[in-house]
Amino acid sequence: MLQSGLWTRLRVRPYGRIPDPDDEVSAIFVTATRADPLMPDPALAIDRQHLAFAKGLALLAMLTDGPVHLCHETGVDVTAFRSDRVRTSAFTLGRPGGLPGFHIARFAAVSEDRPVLQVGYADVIDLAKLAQTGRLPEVTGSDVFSGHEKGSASASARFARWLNASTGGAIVPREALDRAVPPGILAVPLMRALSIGDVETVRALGGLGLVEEDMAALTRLCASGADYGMLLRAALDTLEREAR
Amino acid sequence: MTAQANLRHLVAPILDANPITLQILGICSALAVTTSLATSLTMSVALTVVLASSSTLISLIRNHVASSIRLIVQITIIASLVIVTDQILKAYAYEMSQRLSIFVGLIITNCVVLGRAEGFAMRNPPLPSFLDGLGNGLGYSLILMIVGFIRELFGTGALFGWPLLATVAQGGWFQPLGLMLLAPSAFFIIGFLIWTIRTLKPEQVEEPEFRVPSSGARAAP
Amino acid sequence: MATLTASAAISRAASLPGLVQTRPALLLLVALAAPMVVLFFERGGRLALVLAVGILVAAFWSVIFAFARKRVLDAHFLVAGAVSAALLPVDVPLWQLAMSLSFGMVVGEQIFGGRGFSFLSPAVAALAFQFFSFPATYAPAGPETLAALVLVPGMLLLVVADLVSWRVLVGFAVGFGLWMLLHQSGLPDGSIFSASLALGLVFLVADPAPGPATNSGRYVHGFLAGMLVVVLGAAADGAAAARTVVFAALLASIFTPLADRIAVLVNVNRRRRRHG
Repeated sequence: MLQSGLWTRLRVRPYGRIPDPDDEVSAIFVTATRADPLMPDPALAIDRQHLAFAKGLALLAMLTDGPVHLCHETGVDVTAFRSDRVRTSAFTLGRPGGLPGFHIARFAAVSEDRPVLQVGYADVIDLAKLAQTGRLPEVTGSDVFSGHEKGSASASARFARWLNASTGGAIVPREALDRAVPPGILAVPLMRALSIGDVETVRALGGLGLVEEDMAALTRLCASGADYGMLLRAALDTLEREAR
Repeated sequence: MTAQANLRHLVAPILDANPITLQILGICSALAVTTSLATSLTMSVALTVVLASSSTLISLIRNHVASSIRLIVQITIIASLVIVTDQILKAYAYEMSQRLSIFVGLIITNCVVLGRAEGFAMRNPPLPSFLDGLGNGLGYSLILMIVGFIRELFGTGALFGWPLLATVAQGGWFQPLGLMLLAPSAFFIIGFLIWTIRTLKPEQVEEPEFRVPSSGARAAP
Repeated sequence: MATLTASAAISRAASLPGLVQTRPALLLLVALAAPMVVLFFERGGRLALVLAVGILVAAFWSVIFAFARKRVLDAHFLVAGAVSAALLPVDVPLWQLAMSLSFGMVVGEQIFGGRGFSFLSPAVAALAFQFFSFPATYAPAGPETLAALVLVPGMLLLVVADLVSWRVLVGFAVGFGLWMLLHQSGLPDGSIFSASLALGLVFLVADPAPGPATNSGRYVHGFLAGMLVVVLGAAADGAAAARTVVFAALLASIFTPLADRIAVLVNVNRRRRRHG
């Protein structure tokens, strides 16, 4: 994987970096969900290449002693992929359920000594192809989430955008914020800790399991105008430096 | 010790290192006795006398007290002085003593007194200790008088019991603020005083615990 | 659109960096509008004067602090002034209203840094000051149930717009109901549903900015407020009185940071245990 460059498509949490090949990971999360309904449906691609997908999952399982979580959308049949190493879980399409941060928060407690790996479904298929042919298939498209969202055009979304227009000011606690974060994460205490640079509290509240894209919804909803993705990146960098 | 240094011991606690507004000591009696100027003044004098004399006495014996029992010795000295003060008050100003009820006796527990004894008198010679005690007493008295002035004037329309603003009850125009006769008003007044002093003297403001990340990190509107 | 240009104009005139934050306050005013109209009919025209003074005083302090701190001006002062006016008797002396609202805005909110930084709602602080300082202030005579009923659609709007937490409302209902059952001989009559209680619930107890930051905190806050309304009501003026809901909101607000802190501690400890 290292030679072909496929390794660079992996991400490890905490910190969201490319993983160190020598490090042990405690679990692997395969993302077969969409955060944005406009993206291509993972179920179609997996269906067309299901043999390769299964092989890719088996290969991935060799990278860890822990479980491989296949995180798929509700209504998709994934029984063929379950095994003693691979577990499957259903999540709701869209945000926040479609984000890997959400899946990770459900199953794992991420820390520096227990990192987790995240892989996209397309990369799993490519891994199988790589093992089979010795070469990577052509890169088809970028799966990278930038941490900023496109808007949708529905009336409630437009109303929400009007109401939430950022004008600077204080964080006002609202229920929408709690709905926009992975399970087990307290939104407003995390936002407050990020805003003042209290990295210890960010870590205690589960910040190690998050990356910038998990914060995008909070940035959109919070009228204070703070970019929580950037704040999280700053906090994660500080925590990473302190861990060394 | 130079005369200038000694003067500093006297003057600094009045504003720069005021026991109530900077050291945040002695708040409890400041709440309780400031409902009128007369009680505030009496308490101020009592505390200043106790503080100056206890600091001096403790400083005189500071080199002869074993460290393990020094707090008990300090409290014994302070308690004796407070009892004497209380007795004098009862003898010569009985009504005032009744109005102040337990708060003269509670000077023993006032953190200013023990704080200055342990924090200054135990390691400084008698004259500076006397001046430090006197200075802290004056600083405490200043705050007490200000709070008492505001509370009595707006709570009853009088100062030292002499009516200044004709209240509605007396057929006048002034409606007294009931809140001024309750303890929370002293809290608010002291809070405003602290706010004012720290605005005028920013060096008194404490360092914040966290620094806001300087990158700004504002999303584009 | 009109909002955007108006607030842009105001902020340009005031040389503030950025917009005047108006949108949540607008929705709150929309919800407040119908009960206000009803109250006009019930209490008479002087309510307009009280309302105007309340809003002006609240505006004055908000603008001054926004200027001095060079921060965005939050239009919530409109709501604070209006709600205070609605919860006081219509013959309240204007200078008392001005003094109470000044205290409420400055000590209740601006001292902490502005809206969103305090644990107290400014209207709650203002009304508490009024009731403490001028004990002769009596609540409005009748229960004014019509105004309370007319508030319901507005309240639903606010819940949908996420400006009032349904968890706070549910917690309040549970706390209120439970304590009523435990401590009253029978069910309360309809006079419980007064305008003061309804307005106090929606705009004081459920105020989001000084409110709880966690979901469990919201339940606790609502429950505490509901329970206190019954307890304080039984002790003094009845659950329907303005004084009761104001003090219940005040006490519940004081415990809100504690409830949030406990929720955070539970969350942190749970995560630490998962680490092993």
